[in-house]
Amino acid sequence: MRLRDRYSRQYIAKRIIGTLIVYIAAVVLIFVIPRLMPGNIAYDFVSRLIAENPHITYAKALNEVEAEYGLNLPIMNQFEIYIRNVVFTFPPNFGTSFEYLNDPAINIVMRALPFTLLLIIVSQIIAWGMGIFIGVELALRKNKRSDKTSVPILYLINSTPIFWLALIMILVFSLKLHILPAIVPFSYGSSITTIMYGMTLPIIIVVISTVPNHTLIIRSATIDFLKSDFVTALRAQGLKDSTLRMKLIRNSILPSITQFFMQFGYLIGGIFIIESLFSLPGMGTVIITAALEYDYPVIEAGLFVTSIVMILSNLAADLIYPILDPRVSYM
Amino acid sequence: MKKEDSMMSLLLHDMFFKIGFAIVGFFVAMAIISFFYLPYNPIASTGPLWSPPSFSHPFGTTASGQDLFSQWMYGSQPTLFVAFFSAFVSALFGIPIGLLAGYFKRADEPLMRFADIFLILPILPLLIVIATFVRPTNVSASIIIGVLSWPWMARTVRSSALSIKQSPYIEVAIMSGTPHLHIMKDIFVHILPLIISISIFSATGGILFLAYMDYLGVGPITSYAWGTTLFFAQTSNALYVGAWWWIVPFGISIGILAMGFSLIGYSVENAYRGVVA
Amino acid sequence: MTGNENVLEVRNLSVFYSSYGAQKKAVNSISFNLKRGEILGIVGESGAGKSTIGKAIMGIIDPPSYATGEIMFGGKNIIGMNNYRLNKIRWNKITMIFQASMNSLNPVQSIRSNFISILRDKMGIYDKSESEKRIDETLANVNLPTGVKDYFPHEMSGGMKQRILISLAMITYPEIVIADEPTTALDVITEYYVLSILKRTLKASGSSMIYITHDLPSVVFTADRMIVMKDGIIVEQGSTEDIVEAPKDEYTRKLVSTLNEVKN
Repeated sequence: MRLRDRYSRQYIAKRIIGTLIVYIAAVVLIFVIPRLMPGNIAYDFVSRLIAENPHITYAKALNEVEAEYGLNLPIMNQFEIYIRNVVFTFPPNFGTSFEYLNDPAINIVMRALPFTLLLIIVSQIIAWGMGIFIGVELALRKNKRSDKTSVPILYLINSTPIFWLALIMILVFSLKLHILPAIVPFSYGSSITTIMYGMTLPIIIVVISTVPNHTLIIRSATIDFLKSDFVTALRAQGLKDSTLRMKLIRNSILPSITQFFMQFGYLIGGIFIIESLFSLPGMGTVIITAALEYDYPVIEAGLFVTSIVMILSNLAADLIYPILDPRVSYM
Repeated sequence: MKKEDSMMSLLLHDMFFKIGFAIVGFFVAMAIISFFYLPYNPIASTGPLWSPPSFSHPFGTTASGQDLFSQWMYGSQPTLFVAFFSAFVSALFGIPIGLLAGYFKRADEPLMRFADIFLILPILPLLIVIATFVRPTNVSASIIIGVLSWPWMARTVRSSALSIKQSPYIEVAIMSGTPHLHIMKDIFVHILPLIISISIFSATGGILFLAYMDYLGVGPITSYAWGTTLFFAQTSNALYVGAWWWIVPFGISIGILAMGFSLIGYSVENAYRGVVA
Repeated sequence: MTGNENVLEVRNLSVFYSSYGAQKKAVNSISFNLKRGEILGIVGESGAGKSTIGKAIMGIIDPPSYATGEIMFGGKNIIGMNNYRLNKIRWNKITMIFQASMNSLNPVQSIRSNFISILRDKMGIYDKSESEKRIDETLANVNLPTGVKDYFPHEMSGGMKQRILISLAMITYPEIVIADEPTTALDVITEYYVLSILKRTLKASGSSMIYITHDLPSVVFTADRMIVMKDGIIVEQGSTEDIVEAPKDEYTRKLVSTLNEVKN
């Protein structure tokens, strides 16, 4: 079966339509959620403006802000403008930030995106690699002491909030042992070494916190495989241990990727909190700060970009499946 | 009858189940006791400021002299409430949707696409955004968590319903014209242990979600769940003052309680697979 | 063809299955020999313990289940042998043909990779063109076109998969082949086609075979000698001809009578 044959037209069409549906849902939701919230989204911004510029009257400021952001228009017109600015403009236009005037919200978010991607990709490659090896190893030792003691420990780390792990790590490594600084200030233009230095502790924390999840998924997938007929056949073939392990790893990649993307939302949440805790200039810091300051344009842009990242990575995963499992295209 | 019996005996011989049950039981007992008895008022200043653990304050005190041991006991109430109630809400949506999708072929695609929307959306950031505008109570926080996390439940229920639907006895029932509702009830009863196991796992998720919200200061802050205590520790710079006692017990408790739930869920799932497969 | 030398001697083999504390004797103290080049059929209803014998010979009975007695191969007892030494026998000396209806082929790997891991681990053939040549040869032996090596299990029919499993078992020219219900899921025409291919390849390599099945006619077609099993014990053994002509045991008589009914 050639690789190209693994992609049935039906499969690709299904995935792309599915992706579009989720994209539309995300775009609509990002419009609706802030407008469902009690109060006009401009009030807070206006009161802040007045506090800084006492000579402006409230009514005048409100009028101007509403006109600027189109908030005085009927909701359907607002939606129309929103769709035109977000879906049919590139880069999407969410207006300028309430907090950093004159800076388009999307720029603020896009400057933060690389740091978030760096943190996710580096930590997850390490954690996934470790998870595969530990998971297969534990599955092969099922019911032995090493497996039985590992499982509760894995669940414990998996159940411990990532921010608390971070606090403890800072306490131990930064404040007591002085090995790594808790916070290394860096931003978009900093040198690679500064960035890597500042990223080290956050990456270690994300790895520690996510290895158990990868391990548990791969462990249980492998345990299922070990019961299957083809593994019995492989064992009867008397293959080398390393060959058998490689085959088990090969087979457990698919379920682990599926599970990973099902839990991607959780992971992003944890990553965002870690970013804000370490004041990394990533998306998490941007969104959390914006949310606490009611900076609507940035919140919307942040949620939009986060959704796009998740949607695209899910699509990518869908398109990788047929390579990992030739049956997928026909299911 | 026999199936349930052998599942129970499997569970009762399972070390993980016993550990998990003991952990959850301990914290439930603590929550109940804390309704009637607390050493100090957990939110009033009752001792010296920044006091490390001592005889009169076994977990030390906060920056404003609140007794942390009382806060710890008191905090088990909201934590457990949100764990159970959010799991209930997520089951309320996840089970019917999963069953329908697994049973009716025509409903499968649209329902699962609908679930995908929730899976692919950035839940926690969304939650943070919603919670900054609407200060949640324990009930509304549980509802938000449940509504945003039902797709996991739906997915698992769907795939097990789908595989049971293909078993001969269900196929015979369908062909002989047994009412759909009746067959779906049968499928439900059959996968009930699995549903219990996923619900317990989603209680774990509820505990962690609540902790995240509380820690960011967007949770139901007045109920003083463990995450809230950590939020106040953070805003008071407890870390840099060196007040480890304000941080250590609360995170460990969240982890241990959530692990207790996970171990129960894990052993229930194992027992189900051991008996059925 | 059949010599008098025993390649495998089974003495008082018992296998105990245990699950959740309860114990069951699947095979109860059985003894038999396998001669060089012969085909020995093992017949019996499902649950008679036939497949368990095959597993015991391959050494793949997992704890807490266990086997006792002797399975003598090359002067050594397979029971109680460690994994390292078992792996020197598995597929080098004794191979197994699984049921195609079971998912005995890895669903996510091509047929080629199934062969390649055996060629590498068991025969030390790492050279690419050499292994391609071997695969083509062995596929030709079971009348399959060389193109099937790029197939995945889900793309093949039951008969094709069964022939793949046969060629996987024959590629190392083993001394003994254990075939566990190799034709159960096939239609009758394909069944006899596959069986005749199997017989031909066995003859070519001079291997002995233990042919496990519940299907008496196929045993009559294939086996030189046969063993009839019921509830974990051997009720009768002897040459296929003798047993079919004059069955001694009550159960065997019933079994054989079905054969005659079909004939009439």
